[in-house]
Amino acid sequence: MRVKNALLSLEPGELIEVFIDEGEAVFRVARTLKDADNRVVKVEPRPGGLSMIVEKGGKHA
Amino acid sequence: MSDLELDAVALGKVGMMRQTQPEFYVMRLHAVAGDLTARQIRCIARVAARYGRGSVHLSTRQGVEIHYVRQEDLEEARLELLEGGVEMGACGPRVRLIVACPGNETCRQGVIDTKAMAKTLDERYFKTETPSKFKMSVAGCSNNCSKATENDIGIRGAIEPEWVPASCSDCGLCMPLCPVRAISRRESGGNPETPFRYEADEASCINCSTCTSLCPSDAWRVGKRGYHVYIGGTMGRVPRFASLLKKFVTDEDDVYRLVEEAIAFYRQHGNKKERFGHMIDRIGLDTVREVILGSV
Repeated sequence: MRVKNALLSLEPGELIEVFIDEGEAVFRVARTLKDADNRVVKVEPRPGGLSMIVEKGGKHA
Repeated sequence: MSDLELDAVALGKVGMMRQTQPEFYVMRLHAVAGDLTARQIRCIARVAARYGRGSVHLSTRQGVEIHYVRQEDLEEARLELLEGGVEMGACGPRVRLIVACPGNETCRQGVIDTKAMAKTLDERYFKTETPSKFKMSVAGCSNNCSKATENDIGIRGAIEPEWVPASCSDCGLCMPLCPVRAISRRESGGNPETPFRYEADEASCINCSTCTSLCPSDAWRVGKRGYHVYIGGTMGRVPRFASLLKKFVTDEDDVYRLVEEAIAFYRQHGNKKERFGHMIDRIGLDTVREVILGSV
C-alpha cells in the first residue's frame, strides 16, 4: 500500500527506491507493480530485505 | 441387520444419510468443482423449503446438503431435484464429489483447466465403489486452494519456466521472488549477445508460476504446462499428507491413466474401511508407486 501511494505522486518515467522486507511482502509488491505496469529497474539485497528501484509506468498527462 | 439399517445402507449409496434424529435424513447433492447453475440453485431452494427446513448446508467438498428431510419425502424430493437438473451425491465407501478450484478459467494464477479435469474425473469415477471413501481434488496452481495434497488423489497444475534473454532487463527481481530460491544469475563468460543468464534449477523448482506471472519484463515465460499427481492424502482421525506419485506429467491422458491405476490398485488391495493413504503406508509407498507407475 505504501509503495502504491508513493508511486501516485510520481510522473511516468520517474524513479523511486523502495525497501521491502523479505518474504511475502516481495510477492505482494511485485504483484502491485506488475498490475499497474510499473517497471522494476533493479533489485539489490539489503539486510533483512531488498531495495527495489522502480520506474513509474504509464503516459504523461 | 434391521430393516431400518438396511434402508440406511441402501439410501447411503444414493447420497442420503440418516441424521442424529432418526426420523430425518440428509440429502447430499451432486456438484462438480462446486459449480451449480442458477436453475439448479432455485430448484434446491424450492426443495429445501418444501421438504426440509428452508435452509441448506454447504459441505467441505463444495457440495450442497438439504437436512431434515423425512424418509417418506425422500423420493419425491429426489425426483423434484432431478427435474431441476440436480442429482444425488455420494456417501459411504465410494468415490465422492470431485473438488476443484476455478483454475485458469477465471483465476489469474491458475495454470490448468481444473474444471474440465474435474468433470472428466467425475464422469469416469463418481460413485465408483472403493474400500473406503475416496476423494479427489484438482488444484490450478501451487497455491493449492483446493487442497490437492489432502485428498486420496490430488492433481496440481504446474509450469516449467523458461527464460527469454531478449526480454530480460536484468533487474534481478526473480531471484528473491522465487519462493524456493531456485533462480540464479550467471555471467555468460564474455558472450556479448548474452552477457548474463538467469536459470531455474530443475531439482528445486516447484513449478509454481510465480516467476512467469510476476516477471516485470515477461522474460520468464511458461515453457511447458503439466500436472503434479499426489496420492494418499487424508484427513480424519489419522490424517496423512499426500505423497508425490509423479512430478510434472505433461500429457493429460497420462494423468487419467495414473488415476485409473491408482483406483484399481486400491480396489484390489485396500482393506474394508481402510483409507487409500493408510493402505499405502501398510504396503509401502515405493511398492505402490512402482506398481502404479509401471502400469502406465
